[in-house]
Amino acid sequence: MSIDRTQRAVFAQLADVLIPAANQMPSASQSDVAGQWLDRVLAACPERTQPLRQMLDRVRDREPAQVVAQWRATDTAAFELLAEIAAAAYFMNPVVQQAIGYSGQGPRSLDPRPDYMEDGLLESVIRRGPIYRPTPAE
Amino acid sequence: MWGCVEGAKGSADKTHWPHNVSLGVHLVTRARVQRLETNGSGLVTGAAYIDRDGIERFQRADVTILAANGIGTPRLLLASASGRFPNGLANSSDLVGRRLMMHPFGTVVGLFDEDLDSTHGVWGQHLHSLQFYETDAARGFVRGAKWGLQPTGGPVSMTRGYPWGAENAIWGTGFHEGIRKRLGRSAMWGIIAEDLPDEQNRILLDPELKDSSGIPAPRIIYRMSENSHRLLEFHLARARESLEAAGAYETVVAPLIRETGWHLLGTARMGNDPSTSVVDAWGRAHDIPNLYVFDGSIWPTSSGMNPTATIAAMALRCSERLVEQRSNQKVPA
Repeated sequence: MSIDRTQRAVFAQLADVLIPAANQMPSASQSDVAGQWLDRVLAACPERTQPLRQMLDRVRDREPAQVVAQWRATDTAAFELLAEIAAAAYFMNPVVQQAIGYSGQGPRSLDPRPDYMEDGLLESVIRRGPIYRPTPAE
Repeated sequence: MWGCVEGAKGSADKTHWPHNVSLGVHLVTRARVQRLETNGSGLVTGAAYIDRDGIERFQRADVTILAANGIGTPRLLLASASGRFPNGLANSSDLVGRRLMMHPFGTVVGLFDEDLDSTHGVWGQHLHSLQFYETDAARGFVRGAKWGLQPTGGPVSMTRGYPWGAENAIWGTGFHEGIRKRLGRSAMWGIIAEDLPDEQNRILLDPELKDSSGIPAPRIIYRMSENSHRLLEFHLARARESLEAAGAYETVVAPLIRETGWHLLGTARMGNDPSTSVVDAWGRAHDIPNLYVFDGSIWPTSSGMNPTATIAAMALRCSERLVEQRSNQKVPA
């Protein structure tokens, strides 16, 4: 089950309401959110495909901004589904990632000596000593 | 609840189940338990369930242990009502489903000029503070909250109701400016309020709504107490002060995150008196000697902490006791 061309066009219009072009950044549709990046998102979360299709089919010929405003006010589930998928697809585009200075998640080693033990952040707490309420005796 | 498609999270599917299965444990996934059955002696004989193909099955058991937490456990106990147990299993106290506690949760995020590298970091918390945890009558409420300091995450997280609050969304014309301010340059305090037990906050079976397997859905009745409102107001104000003192040029407060209610506690209370509790000090139902509950529903109070480690510790403690006492364990014939 996939998203057809009409549904993709509707998705792009709705996504542009949430993510318009501004500040030298592309809009959602300019970043191809309704193309390969939408496919990537739905491949990771296939259970959202059917709810998304149903949601897009409800839009018909209505004004995108009006639809988004209405969902935001009265249909939280629809709005959150749209917003989550639009943002995820937008930020999967490497051009967008480069523009915001984000290169994704990756493993990092942990310093066994936490910086808060080195930089004095906890000194006042250590000086104060423990405070606690003893548990009741048996 | 939040698994990892990359398999990078230390969740039970990675940390425990492969080892357990290698030892011979049989795990049935995508099954839904309809009810527990009992015999004429009042012992649980096993669980009726619907498997992934929609086929009804029955798993016989000498001992049954529930670990479905504060909604799933009372739902199943109530759904297992019978002529002998008309109010549901283990419910002679009428406390099954009552005293639901869910940890009201608010956040304060600080925006900083400097790069905090907050797209990465430990999920959960870097450090926590119990500075204002204990009761101080002068504050106008009892008990307190844990503060957990953590990074705010990657770009999609900058758009979500958690931790920013749906009322502080950046969609539309302010989207890119919002991302610029938040991404990599924000840190948050998560405030977990100790929820007080209230018998009116409870899980019931919905008389009409059912899940796709035809099992009655839980109905959740929960009203946040005046104490919790006052508690969060005080703690959010102090957390805001701390971020401002740390150099935040702006703070974003989400006084009550709608998406929370992750910690489901209290609905099968532990205690010594069968008239005021559901299970004994070892998780065994007062009413049914071969039925145990090893999850967060047995907590008498909620604390203001993330509960999973304590639930696991309590489950281990109760399991060891069950093994030690196995020669005295009543089982169905």
